[in-house]
Amino acid sequence: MTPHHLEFNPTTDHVARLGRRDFLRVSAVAAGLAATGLASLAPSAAWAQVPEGISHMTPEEYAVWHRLMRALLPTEGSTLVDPETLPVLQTVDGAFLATLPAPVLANLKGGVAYFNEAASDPFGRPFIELTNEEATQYCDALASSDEVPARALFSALKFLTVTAYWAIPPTWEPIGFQGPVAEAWGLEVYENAALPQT
Amino acid sequence: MTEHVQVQAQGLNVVEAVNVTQTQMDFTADAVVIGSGAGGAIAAYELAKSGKSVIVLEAGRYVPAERMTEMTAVSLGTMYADHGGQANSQGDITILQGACVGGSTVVNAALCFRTPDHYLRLWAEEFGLTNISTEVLTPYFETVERNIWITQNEAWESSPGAELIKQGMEAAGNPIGHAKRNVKDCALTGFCFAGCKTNRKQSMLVTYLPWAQAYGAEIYADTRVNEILSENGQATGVTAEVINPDTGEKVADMTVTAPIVVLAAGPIQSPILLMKSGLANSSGQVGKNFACHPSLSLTAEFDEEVNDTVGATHSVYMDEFVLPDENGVGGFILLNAIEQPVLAGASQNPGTGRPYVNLMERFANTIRLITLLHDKNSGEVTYENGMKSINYTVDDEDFESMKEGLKVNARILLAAGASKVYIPTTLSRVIESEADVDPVIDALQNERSRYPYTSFHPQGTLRMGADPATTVVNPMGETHDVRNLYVLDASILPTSIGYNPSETVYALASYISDQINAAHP
Ligand SMILES: Cc1cc2nc3c(=O)[nH]c(=O)nc-3n(C[C@H](O)[C@H](O)[C@H](O)COP(=O)(O)OP(=O)(O)OC[C@H]3O[C@@H](n4cnc5c(N)ncnc54)[C@H](O)[C@@H]3O)c2cc1C
Repeated sequence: MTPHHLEFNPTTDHVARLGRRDFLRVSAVAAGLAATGLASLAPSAAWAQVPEGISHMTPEEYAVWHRLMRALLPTEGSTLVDPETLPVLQTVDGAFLATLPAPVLANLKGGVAYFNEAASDPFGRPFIELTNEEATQYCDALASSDEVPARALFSALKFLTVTAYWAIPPTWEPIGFQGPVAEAWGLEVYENAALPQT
Repeated sequence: MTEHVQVQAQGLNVVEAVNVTQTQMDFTADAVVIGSGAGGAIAAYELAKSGKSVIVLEAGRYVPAERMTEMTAVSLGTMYADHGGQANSQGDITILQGACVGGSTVVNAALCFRTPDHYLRLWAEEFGLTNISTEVLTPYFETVERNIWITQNEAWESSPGAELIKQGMEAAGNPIGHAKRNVKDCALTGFCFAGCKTNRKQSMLVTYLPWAQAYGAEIYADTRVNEILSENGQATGVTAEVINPDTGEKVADMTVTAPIVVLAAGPIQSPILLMKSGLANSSGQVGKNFACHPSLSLTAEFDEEVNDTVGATHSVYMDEFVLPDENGVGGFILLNAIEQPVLAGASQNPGTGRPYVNLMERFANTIRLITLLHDKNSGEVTYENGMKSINYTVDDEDFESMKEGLKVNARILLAAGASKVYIPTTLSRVIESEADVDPVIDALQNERSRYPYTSFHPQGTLRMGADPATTVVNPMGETHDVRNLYVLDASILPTSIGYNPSETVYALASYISDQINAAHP
């Protein structure tokens, strides 16, 4: 029997079905950062084009998210599915960013810009230009920072990225998670319970 | 009377936004119930059974078994408050609540405990709730236990991780608590948090709501109550909006005129509704006294594969240290829980990149044991400029209890044979032997945005008690200030109880329903 999740088209169904998400944790983090007066990302011709399915990230923001995804999920040489082959950022975009209230989305975008630019302090270059090793060091430094906004921002960006990755069914097989089972196991659906007699 | 009453075999007759053609709907009923979760569903049934016409208004969607996906990410988006993203204002405690017909009972893990006598005695002493003694509540516990099939797990209702944890508890000398759950013939799919696709979980969706309908109750989904109406200190009904959840567009306005209003929108939305309505706050306590049992999950890695993704979501617990100390501080309970990658994968932090990939590659070798804190009621829900805030951070004394809980937790996991135990903090913290437990956990400090807490049990924001100056709801469940406005949800718990609260809510809702029926024969 074909497991149910293999019939599921992650690119279309998944993003559509996740629907609107109002991640208040993002809002809280981003609100803190907004108070510090953040610039937006400056456009650069060097940045990659955004792929289809991304409509709430600018090319510049996409480049930051993409670099972060690579830093968080370096799957080369592992059994995990390469995130490049999955619509991870489309899921971040469609499931998380798509319907964030406008002020929250604006603050999150400020956070992304801050995350990129703040790397210039220790490394002399923005996050998107860091080597793999530097990107890892930078993320670990934010995670263990004594500054609440820094670790809150990193936690939120990481949460959105890895949650989007693990929400996509093809990521499950290599770690032995089988996904939906009720249909595959042929389970009987129970009726409503009978009315209590007392 | 029951012989004339038929329970529909499957599903419910629910009016959803897509079925609504009018833009204004006005109804009258004997009672309007706001929210269809643990409290609302029981009230709907008990009131309808006593012959009252009842209308239930539920803000969330109607998700019957055939629309359930067994995909946690999808369910978070469709069946949870704020699409699973509800959090404290600091953003470091995810506060999960169901938002669908049946409320949190549809997505909960079904673990049930009677309210411990300790709290019933405490509530009598400190809040004048002498009417809800153990003697009074026992028949209510017995009834709900019978009605929704609350039974102790059979030996086979377990999971591979739970079996290891049992060994660990035994080896560490801790007592093993065997779960009682409201699940009939559990199929061990492990998908409680995504709703039970085979209707074996005896949630409100397949018990009290269809029974309420059998007695004529009407249920409207996608319908958010915006205001409770009153005249001369007496509740008169509500106004609501029907919103299409797929488009976010308003479909209709609704008014329900009813002499009995039952508020059961849960501990975040119930106080907000009272604030929006400008009602029942002469004590100044509406929204205050929020507690939520914040929890942290330790992940244990084993040398062998464990495959802890199918089985009973909860099988074992350890409540040796659940009661607060002599100063009223802390207490914790440990619960095993099987978790799927979308939830488990977000809370791990062994370090960025390779360490994370390495750990997730060995997901099949990992299990989780939750430390759930019995916290103080120190938070507050506020509503300003159309925005809610949950102002709550883990109290310093409570954090010390959490650390004690994490130590016991880690020792059990090591005794179960774990080679590594991961502490969920933004810093990588790994315990590899008994000798690490105290130094690693003692070094943890109560810092904001450091730990990814999850809360499943918000409580306390409309607390019940005899004194109108310090509590919102009287011992019969009616607000002190507004006659015929009753609150029947987890908001009324006067203190947090340290144990999973659903059975407490079921019993109190049944008790208060009896009070309503007695006052309105
Ligand atoms: C994931 C999860 C796991 C859990 N596991 C357990 C467990 O194993 N054991 C246990 O004892 N407890 C568990 N709980 C908690 C338990 O389910 C709740 O304590 C209990 O259901 C609370 O009942 P309630 O009536 O207060 O609210 P709920 O059951 O949450 O119902 C409130 C309902 O009101 C609706 N509503 C809100 N605002 C409005 C409005 N303005 N108009 C109309 N409707 C509105 C909501 O959409 C919701 O459906 C869990 C909860 C969650 C979320």
